Formats: sequence, structure tokens, C-alpha cells
Amino acid sequence: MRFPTKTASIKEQEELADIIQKNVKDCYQCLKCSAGCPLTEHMDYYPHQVMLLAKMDLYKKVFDSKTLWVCASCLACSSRCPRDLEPAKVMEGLRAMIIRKRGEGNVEVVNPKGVPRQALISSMRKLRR
Amino acid sequence: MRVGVFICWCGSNIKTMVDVEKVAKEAEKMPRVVYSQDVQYLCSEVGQADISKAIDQHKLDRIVIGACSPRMHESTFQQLLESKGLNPYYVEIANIREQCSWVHTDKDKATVKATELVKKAVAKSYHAIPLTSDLLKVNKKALVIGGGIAGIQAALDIADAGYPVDLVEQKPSIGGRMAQFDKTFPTLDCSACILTPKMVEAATHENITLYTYSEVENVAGYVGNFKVKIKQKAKSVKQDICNGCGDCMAKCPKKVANEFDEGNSKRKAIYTLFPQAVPNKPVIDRDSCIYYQTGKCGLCEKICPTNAIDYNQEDEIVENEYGAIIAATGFDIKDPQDLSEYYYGNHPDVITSLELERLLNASGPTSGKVIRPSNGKTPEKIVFVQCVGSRDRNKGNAYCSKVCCLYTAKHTLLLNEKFPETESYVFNIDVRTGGKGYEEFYERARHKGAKYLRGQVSKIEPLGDADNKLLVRGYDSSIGEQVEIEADLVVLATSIEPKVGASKIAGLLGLSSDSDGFFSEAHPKLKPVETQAQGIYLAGVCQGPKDIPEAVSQASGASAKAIILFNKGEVKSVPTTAMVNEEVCSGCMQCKPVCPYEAISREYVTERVAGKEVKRPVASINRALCQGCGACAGLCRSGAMDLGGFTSKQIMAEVDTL
Ligand code: SF4
Ligand code: SF4
Ligand code: SF4
Ligand code: SF4
Repeated sequence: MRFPTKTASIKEQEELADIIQKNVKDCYQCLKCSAGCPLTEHMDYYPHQVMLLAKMDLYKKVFDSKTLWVCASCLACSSRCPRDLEPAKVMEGLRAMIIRKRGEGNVEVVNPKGVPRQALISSMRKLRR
Repeated sequence: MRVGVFICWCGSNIKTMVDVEKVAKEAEKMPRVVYSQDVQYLCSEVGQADISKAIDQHKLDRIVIGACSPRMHESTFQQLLESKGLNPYYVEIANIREQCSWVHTDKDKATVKATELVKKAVAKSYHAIPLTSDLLKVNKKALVIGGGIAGIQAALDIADAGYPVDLVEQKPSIGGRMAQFDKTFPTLDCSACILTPKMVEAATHENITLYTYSEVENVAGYVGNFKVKIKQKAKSVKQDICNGCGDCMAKCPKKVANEFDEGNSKRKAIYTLFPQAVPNKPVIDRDSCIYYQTGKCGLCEKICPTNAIDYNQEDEIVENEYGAIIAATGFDIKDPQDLSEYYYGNHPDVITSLELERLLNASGPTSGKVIRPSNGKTPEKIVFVQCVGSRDRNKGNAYCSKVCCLYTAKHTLLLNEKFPETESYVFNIDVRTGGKGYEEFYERARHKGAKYLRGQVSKIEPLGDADNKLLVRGYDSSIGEQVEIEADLVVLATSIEPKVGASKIAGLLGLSSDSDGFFSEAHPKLKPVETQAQGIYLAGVCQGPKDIPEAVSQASGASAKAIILFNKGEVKSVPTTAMVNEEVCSGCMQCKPVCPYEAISREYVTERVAGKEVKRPVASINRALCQGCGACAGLCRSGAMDLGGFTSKQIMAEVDTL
């Protein structure tokens, strides 16, 4: 990866910050979130990597990743993060951003069995349905 | 002679590997031992009371201790004996911890060894002789070597306590490294603003004499009575006449690289180190001056309104006496040129942190503007590389330089403040922020957007584009990918090293240095400002990397030690000095050259031989100078030289019992 690279606009950065009410720049990469996550085996980016990419304004990589949809919102990471960043909330925020982008919240469920319930529920919540 | 033996458990330290009860039992059987006991903690109040009671009850006059190294508690036991009216050198210690329990794994064998060690100590105690120290007068004046913040603080503290201090500085001005800095972490107050008042205070203090542009040439003597030669280099400017107008500097035609700006600006051959220099009067750098090189020029002499220029001034040697010396010689930074992957020296936009510090400084070469040296433009993407030559056994220094993590965070913050457009990337192995408010400071740097990448940089090379940018290649272990950054400016956090010439000072003062060249303290935990040389103390980075608050606290600590010495007004000499048996001494004087403290001299004794008076040379010891190293005693072929506390008789007795 070559820097300077940025895939998130200022607007998107503000949007994420607005949803999660946290500052991802606070993360000091202690890796505790990834250490405790029960689902890393199925992830392409580990939670700490999602945090770092968010911190470096590289949202595209996260948007394209499996991780956001593998995360089960078990909150293991959030309960442990020494910086109280609640990585699960960050994941949630990034998922919400994807969902919001897809035309007014008409979520197209391509594979109903493959989408985590949490994602569906959260999308409905986020889109006030 | 009535010997008492006390065997310490040292909690579990000795007890788990040595059967202490058995050793105490065995000791009872040793000749002249009238009392023996094992105690859980001999150094504790309870343990001391046990010894004291036994001395009274059993009328003991020799004490043998089986415990930890005498380096730990010998003086504790000596004081106890003294308080009981016995000579302190009537205590003998067998080290059954460091030399026995800690290094063995077989309890039976360790117990046998401990018994043997005690046995030999008992044998040695039979031949103990009473030793006394002399009281030596202390010269109540201090010498501080090095005029950086540590040296200045030490000098001020001693001077405020009412004692005279001489402060010697190599450069033409005091201030040291701190004077080069822009802001200080974690408060971001301006370095000069807090330092300059202290510099002025040192210069105007009635108890402080400044020797700038000076070096220590020779040190002789001992605690309380050092004799020091200081060489004042010729400044070629009569300091009492010069009014500091600066006309000479303005007119001088010769320009050379300015070391204060890390070579990034020019100064004249006649110069002051920086605008707030103290003393603020110029000196002529003779190696650069045209007049000294070719005999022509002489412009400054013509210009000077007060006729202060004096080309014929000569170096002067001042000789002074001091009671205490504080070494505060400071540091240099490692030239990153031999770490070729960083491309330093091959591209103008790869600079050191100290160079950036000068760029940020309002009195620096760019008046505080941070620019790309290659084109004068403001850099936007700046890459910081930490641990350049630090923690590097291969081509650098194995230790952590301690301050770079924080000053790098500071640089990212300052840049962010001055130029919000800049983006800072920080390559690090890990970030170390031990210190009050430091973690919060690092947090602030992250908050403001400094991008920390975990991993060392493996290569920096020119990108070859129109802007001649640099490509920095690293690997971020968090993303788990190789990363490349197109940088406008690369800043290397270079390793801290002892000042060039520190080893010479160490030699003059008789200090030992660690393998990295930093001066060694007497004890890393409990005597961090003292040295093995009595009366010589350490302050600042000459002892190891430190930040400003630490350097200042250590300086105050060192000055407190000197003040204690001055308040007492006298010191006890080493009692374990060499002793000459004049009857046996042949006067060959072979011992004289081996004595590192020059304590041995030739003297004459008169005696009657066959009815005639004859004079015969013998060696004689100056007890104030002798430090009891024993070199002479080991060398003497006639066996005339003995060392108090370790006489040949005592040592032979030890050997014989084994
Ligand atoms: S646990 Fe928190 S601070 Fe640590 S890496 Fe994860 S998000 Fe960052
Ligand atoms: S919330 Fe998601 S990222 Fe966090 S531990 Fe659970 S599964 Fe892993
Ligand atoms: S202070 Fe930080 S950058 Fe400097 S050597 Fe230590 S760990 Fe490396
Ligand atoms: S014991 Fe050491 S210091 Fe003392 S006179 Fe002998 S050689 Fe010199």
C-alpha cells in the first residue's frame, strides 16, 4: 500500500464519528480486541486492523472486507478495549454507512441465510424502520 | 579472644539452599567460638539486637557473620560493633548468599561450602587488627564540568547553599543542548524561555565563576581536596572591555558552518554561539579566522569601538582547589550516515530530529519556518523514523535513547499546530512514554492525527519525480502489509551518545564508564548520583539518556551530595589503607609506580647498625591518598606492604583452614 492514500472523504469521517461518538484516532493498537474476538478465523481484517484502517482513513478496504459481516456483535472487544473505543460500535458504524449508501435503506437481502441477524436488525434501527 | 558466629537465613534467600541451623551448629565446634546462632534477618533491628545481646552476655570480642555480600551490610555491622565499644574491623563476613546459596542447587554441598566459608572467616578474625580512619578537612568549593541544564542547575543549587562554584564549559556559551531545542515536552513551553533566566542567574550569581571556552586539563587529589587545572582557551577578545555590540561579527568576512544550527546556517569566524549566549561576548574561532590562517584581514580589530580584540591572547591555565566535583558533560547524537538505508547525507530532505528542532526554532536558520531543505517549500507529508541507531546492536547503540518517542510526538504536534496541512507518519518499534503526563502527550499526538505505523523502515530512496520526493518503505505489522510513503521530508530520531571526549574526562576523574561510554554510578539504585570515586558526582545525560526533568533532578541530587560534604566540613579517610613494615622494607620503591593514587613516597629511617647511625630508604604511605586497592601489597617482594583489614596473615589464615 502506498501513502498518501485516503479513501474516506471528510464527510464520511464525520459521518462515522457521528454514529460511533468515538475518536478512532485514540486507538493505540494494543491488539486486545483481536486477541479476544471469537470470529477472527473467518475474517480477512482483524478488529485491530479495522481500527487502524479507520484511523488512517482507509475506509474502502474495510467496506470491501468480509469482517464487517462476520462480526457477531458479541462485544468481547468492546468490553476489553483499554481505550474504551468499543470496536464493535465502530464495526456497527461502518456497516451502517454501507447500508445507508444503498439507496434510502432498501436493503437487498441477497442471501437471507448468510446475513447476520444483527446486521439486519441494526440496519432497520439505523434506518428507523 | 571470644568469637561469636551469626548465620543469617536472609528470609528464604539462604535458608532454602543452606541448612543454616547446621552451619551454626558446626560453627560452635570451631576453635575460640564461644557462641553461635542462626537468625532470620540479621540486618533487621531484631537481628542486630540479638548480636548486641550476645556480645554482652558472652563477652564477645570478634564477630563473624554468615550472610549476604559485605557490600550490602558490612557498614551496618561495623556501626553495631562501634556502638558496643569494639573496633569496627573486628567483624568478619562470610558471603554465604551471593557466593553460596544463590549459585548452587545441591543443598548438602552448599551447606558444606557455607560451613567452610564461615570457618575461614573465623580463622581470619583471629588476626583482625583495629583500624581507624583519619578526619580530613574539606575544601568547601565545588567544580561543575559541563554548562548544560544539568551543570547549570547543580551550580545554582550549590551556590544558593552558600558555597562557591566554578562552572567549566567547553563552548563559548553555557546552555548546552537545551539551548538548541525549540519547545519542551510535555508542556510545550519554550525551551529558551525557561533556560535563559537560569543561564543569566548562573552568570550573575555571586558564588558562581564561569569558565567558558575552557576545559579541564588535569585532576589530582582526593575527596575534599582536589587540585584541578583548567585550560581557558584564548578568546582573542578582551572580555572585560568588549561591550557585546556585535559590530565585529557583522563585518567579519569569514563564514563557516554553524554548529549550533547543526551546520544548517553560517556563522562568522568571530561569533557568539547564539543570540542569547551567556556570556554574550564573541570569541574568535582561530581555526577559521583569516588573520590566524594568513596574517591578513584584521577587520574586527579595526571595527571594534572599544579596542577589545586581542590577537595575541594566549591560552591560560588556572589552578584551583575543590572539595567536590560534579560531572555533567552531556551528550552528542549519533551521525546516522552509517545507517545507509536511511539515505542521510545523500538527500537534503532527510534530516535529524535536532535539525528539525532548529528549523522549528524562531532563532534557527529559517526563523522558525519548517521547509524542505531541497526547495524551501513547506513539506506536507513528513515521515518520522524512531530508534535510528538506538536499540540496534548491529550498527548502533544497544540501549534505548529514552527521549525520542516523546520529542517525535512533540514534533508532530508542533507541525500540526504551525501547518495544519501537514501529515505525519511515525514509524516505531514501540512507543515508550514513561514519565508524568507523557502518555497523555502521546495520546494528544495521536489525536491530532499523527499516524503511528508499527515497524522499522527498511529503505528510503528518492522517488525520482519532479519534486524529488522520497519513498519510504516499511512494513506495518498491524495492517500486516508492506507500506510505502511518498514523503516530502524524513526526520530521523537519532540515538543519543556520550559526549565526544567523555572518556578523557572519565580518565581524568578516575571514573568508570559502562560499555556504552556513559559514566557509571556507584550503585544503580541506591547511589545513582555518586561514583566510585568519593567526592565526584554525576548529573545529566553523561550518566545515561535522560529527559530535562530527570537531568535537573539528578543535578539537584548531585549538588545536595556536595552540600552535605561541605556542611560536614570533613571526611573520614579510608581506614583499610596500606601499611609499610619498615623493618622489612628494602626501599626498592617498586611499589611506587604501581600505586594509581600516587600515595607512596620514599622516606628515610635512621637506625644504628654496628654502632653507627645509618639512614635507610623505606616506602611510606600517605593515608589520605591511599584508597586501599592493594596493588602495592600484592607486588612487594619483601612482604613489607600489608593492607589493613586484609593483611597477609589474615589471608594466609583463611587459606590454611581450608
Ligand atoms: S483494543 Fe482498543 S486500543 Fe486496543 S487495538 Fe483494539 S481498538 Fe485499539
Ligand atoms: S464484536 Fe465483533 S469484532 Fe468484536 S469481538 Fe465480537 S465478533 Fe469480534
Ligand atoms: S525513546 Fe523511543 S524512539 Fe527513542 S530509542 Fe527509545 S523506543 Fe526508540
Ligand atoms: S593500597 Fe593502593 S592506593 Fe594504597 S598505596 Fe597501595 S597501591 Fe596505592
